[in-house]
Amino acid sequence: MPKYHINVKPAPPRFLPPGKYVLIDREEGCLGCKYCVKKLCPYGVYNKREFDSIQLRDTIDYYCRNCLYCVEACPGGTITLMVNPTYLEIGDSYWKPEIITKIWRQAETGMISVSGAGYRGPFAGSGFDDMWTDMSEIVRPTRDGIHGREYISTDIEIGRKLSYLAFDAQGKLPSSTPPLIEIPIPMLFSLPGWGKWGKPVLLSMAKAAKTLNTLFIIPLAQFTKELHPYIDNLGIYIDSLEELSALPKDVKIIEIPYNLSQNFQAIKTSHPQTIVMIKIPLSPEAKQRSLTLTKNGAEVFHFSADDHGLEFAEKPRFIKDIIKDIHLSLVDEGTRDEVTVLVSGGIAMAEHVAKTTICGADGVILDQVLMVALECRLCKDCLQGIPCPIDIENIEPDWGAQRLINLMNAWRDQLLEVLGAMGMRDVRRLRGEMGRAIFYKDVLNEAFASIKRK
Amino acid sequence: MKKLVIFFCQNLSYKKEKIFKVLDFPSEISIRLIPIPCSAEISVGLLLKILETDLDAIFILTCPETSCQSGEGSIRAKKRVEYTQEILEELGLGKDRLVMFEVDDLENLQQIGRNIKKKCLSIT
Repeated sequence: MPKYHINVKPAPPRFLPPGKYVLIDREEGCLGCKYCVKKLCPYGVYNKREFDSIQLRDTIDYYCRNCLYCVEACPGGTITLMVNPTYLEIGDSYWKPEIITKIWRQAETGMISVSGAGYRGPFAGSGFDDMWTDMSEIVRPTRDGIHGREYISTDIEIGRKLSYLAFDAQGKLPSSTPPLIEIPIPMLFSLPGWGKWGKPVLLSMAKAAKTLNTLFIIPLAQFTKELHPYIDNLGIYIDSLEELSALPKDVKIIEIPYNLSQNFQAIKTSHPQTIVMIKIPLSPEAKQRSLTLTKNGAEVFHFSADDHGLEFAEKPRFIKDIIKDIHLSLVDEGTRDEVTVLVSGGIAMAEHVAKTTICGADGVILDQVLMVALECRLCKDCLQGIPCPIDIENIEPDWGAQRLINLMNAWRDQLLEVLGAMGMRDVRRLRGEMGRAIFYKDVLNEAFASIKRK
Repeated sequence: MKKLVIFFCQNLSYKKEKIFKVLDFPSEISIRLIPIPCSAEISVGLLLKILETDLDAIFILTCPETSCQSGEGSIRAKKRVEYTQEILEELGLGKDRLVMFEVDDLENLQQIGRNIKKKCLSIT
């Protein structure tokens, strides 16, 4: 089998993203040295600087790599760096500016972004930050790296798997096996629940899905003829049973909301070779629902949390805790291997893919992060009818597809790093491997439970 | 429609939304509020480059000279603005296109809003 490879090409941003720091130059204190530190900048940012007429700013803040050479070396002490308030404005409490700028850099270069300024903590937090992956076998893949001779597979299968085969008296299978799709990365695409995305955005996502050979789930209302060439890599979401007749014939996977799940068998009989995915919003009932549906022959579940990875409840739990719960109860029932569990919501960084997999998901469905890769600033101005500040409706589909491909390459590389450091050679092995993760709560309990106040 | 940009120091005690509300501009004036980490960030070159675009005027809201967090940020900004105003005068654009205001309190900010509107309408 040929190795899976993603072709990366730089896709520079159309609008310069705000830099983390702003350069403040006290020109009045300049001593007029013959060899100015500005000429000696190791990244040559002072030569590249221009005026950005959209942000009304010097572009130097974007090129600067914050090495502080000029700040340190200027004899007059005339140069200072200060945190950019525009930078702090982007995103929200979960999608922090650091996360968003990291996604932008990965989408631009297709490589793992390196922050050279060191990390001073904190080392634990809320959400995904209260678990650590165990990299104890870090010595393993270093011989020739993650892309070396030893192939690490990131394939996953989507569909129902039989736990055993039954044969009739002639030794033949009485019925056909259920349909199964194999995709080379454990990441699927879909659209976020908000926003107005134009045709170019849909086209670029479909193109990227085709190139990567993954799946892009799109509502039937947004499906047009232009997307038909990509049908092999499309999943279609339907809202009602009436839409079933309007489905294109050769679609491989359809998604239905939970309230249509009682019609699952009927849909299956009319579309036997199509995989039917059931979308279940994460709530306290999701566990019971998934157990019942698995008994009734469900194939694929899509558990969706909100954009911040929280369940829809009064006291919401975080996505990884619920998935862990659902995964373990499916294991207890002995039916975990029969269904595929896909998760969406709050997946913002590459490590979140590995972490949800450890908590028991087969793969993730990405939504908002793909828009960020296409330069979305999550300002949600479009919901109020204000024109998009980055004009996302008129992007070039090829450019958009390349940004998504780049991001997926960077994320897959990081997944490979995690797998390599764990000494694993297949992402399917990582599913539910909670022994290979450390949970902050458990560690606290182990250390301090005995001295807890009664 | 008049287009103008307002730079404001992030150390002012008012947030972007608040300033927007207090200044209370009519719809025929389109404004952009841009936060800056310190008013000393603006340089003569930057101000002139901005006026090269289709913007009509720049206003800068800074902290009072005596209470600048960076020590001399407001003083530097003032000097640079004065110098740029001279250049604008020489070019024949008039120094009303670039004005700096020191923000003390809320009343002061409302007064500034009225001033900016008056200045804006006088620009042709």
